[in-house]
Amino acid sequence: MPALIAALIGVTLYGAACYLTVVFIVGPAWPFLIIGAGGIGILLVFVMLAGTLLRARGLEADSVTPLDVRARLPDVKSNFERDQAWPNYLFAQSRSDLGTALMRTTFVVSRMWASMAEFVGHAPAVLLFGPLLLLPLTAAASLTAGAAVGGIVFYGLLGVVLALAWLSWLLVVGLLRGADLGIRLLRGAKATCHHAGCNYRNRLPAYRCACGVTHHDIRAGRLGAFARRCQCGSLLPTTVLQAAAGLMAVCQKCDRPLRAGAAVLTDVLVPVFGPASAGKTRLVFAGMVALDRNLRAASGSLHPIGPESVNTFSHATTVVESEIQTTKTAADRPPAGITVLLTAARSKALLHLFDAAGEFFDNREQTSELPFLDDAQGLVFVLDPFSIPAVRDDLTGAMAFRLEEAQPAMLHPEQAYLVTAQLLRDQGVKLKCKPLAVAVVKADLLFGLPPAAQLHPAAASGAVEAWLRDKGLDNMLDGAARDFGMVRYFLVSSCNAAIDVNGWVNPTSPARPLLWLLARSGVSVAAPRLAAMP
Amino acid sequence: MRPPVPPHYLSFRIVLVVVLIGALAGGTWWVVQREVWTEVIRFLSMHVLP
Repeated sequence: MPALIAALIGVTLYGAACYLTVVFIVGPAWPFLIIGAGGIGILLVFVMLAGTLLRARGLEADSVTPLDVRARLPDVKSNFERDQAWPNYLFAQSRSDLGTALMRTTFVVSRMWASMAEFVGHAPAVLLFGPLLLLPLTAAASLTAGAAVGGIVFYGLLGVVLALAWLSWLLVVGLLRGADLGIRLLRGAKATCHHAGCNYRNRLPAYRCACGVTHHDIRAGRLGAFARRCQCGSLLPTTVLQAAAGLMAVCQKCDRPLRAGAAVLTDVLVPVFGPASAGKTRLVFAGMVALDRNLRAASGSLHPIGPESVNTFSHATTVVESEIQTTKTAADRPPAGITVLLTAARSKALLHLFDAAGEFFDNREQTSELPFLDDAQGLVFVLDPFSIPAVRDDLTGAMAFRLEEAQPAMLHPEQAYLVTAQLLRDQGVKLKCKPLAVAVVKADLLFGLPPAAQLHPAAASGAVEAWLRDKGLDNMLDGAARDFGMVRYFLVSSCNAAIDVNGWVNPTSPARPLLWLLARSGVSVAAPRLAAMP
Repeated sequence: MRPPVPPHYLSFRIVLVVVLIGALAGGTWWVVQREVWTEVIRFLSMHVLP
């Protein structure tokens, strides 16, 4: 009985103590605890965010380096992985910073709750001070609520700032890319690989940093709007127009250096095709030399670009000026392009002449090794008149030596044309958009012979076409007219440049097919002035 | 060792910290100006105190 009474008294005293604690301690302190702990919660978020952003020791986030961009940024729609350069802060580092700050804030709050639970777990006797425990419980709940409110406010605010920066970035990138591409489209600029066996052509070359790292997509984007920073620390421009001024352009396919001015200057690619021994190399050599003289007469210039082109042009000049025989083009490897920089009064352009050995045009398997045929602005078909059966038949007996002298192509011109045209059609090349210059070469050997009685050195395209029809090439000529958007016929004498000292173009000058194709490509070289024929 | 981050990272971070400080200072100023503290304490006192 006494024990029961003692217990009742004890319970009553405990209840009274609890009541007094709630009324005189917990009650008055509660509002201040809520406000104070809530403020601490807000400050906690602020300190974590500011500490992370200012890289305070122990709070800094991991830096997103160029080595991380492939894992941290979305994949690019390209054959290559994303370039390794420092990403713009908006796309990877901002998420890393804000994410790290959020993670650390969450850790601190959860650690606080875990410590409280741990404390009660280790000393359950403290539960006897139940009403007093309301104080830390209230403080913890308020701090958590304050952190949540602070998080919503601060992260929302930073989100708005970053979103505005992102929109500005989007605008800048769109303008830069649009202006860069627009100017290059207007110029008709492309990057053509001149290396044998590659000949890849596109609008966007890769660029190599001084450290040796190749950037496959230099354009403005997630790696930088106005400039990008290579992993070596060098700042690189983000437009092709700027990059071409200081960086080495390299082929996206073979990774070898491209010619200076690639992708920024008007790019004209002219393949010369035709059967073996038709006179393609001679036409290219004489055409370059004639073009050089014509441009110089028109206050322009022609400069071979790259050591191979310089050597070829020097050799071509010697061959044409000395009027010596051209050696046969090697047929064991695909051709390398000859690139010349044309500077005329109002324009600058890169002209790539591709001269493949005639054997490549004998059958479709070999023609498929000539990728430059696909994306040419125009084509030159070299037609050897001495390979036309009707002409050959007329040069018998006493005239047979003239046929031997001409060293005619063995393949019928129609066959060489049809094989190449069929290949281009099969590859989906829109021939209807391309011009074709048919160069009837060896005109100097042809004039005066009975089969060419109707031909005059100043014969216009229609007259040359009529002569070819008369010699039985109707089928080929009809096919060419059907396949190509425009066909023009030229009588060409490639034995010399056929341009006088004043730059006047002889009507049979090898420069004429090239000048016509350049004009069709928008390169305003001065119109050739035709010299009067004797 | 910290990697040498590009300078524009620092620029962005400074802008964000300035925004944070501005928000905190602005919020505090607003609360003080409107005497929100007093109102909150009064509200809590009326409903919490027995």
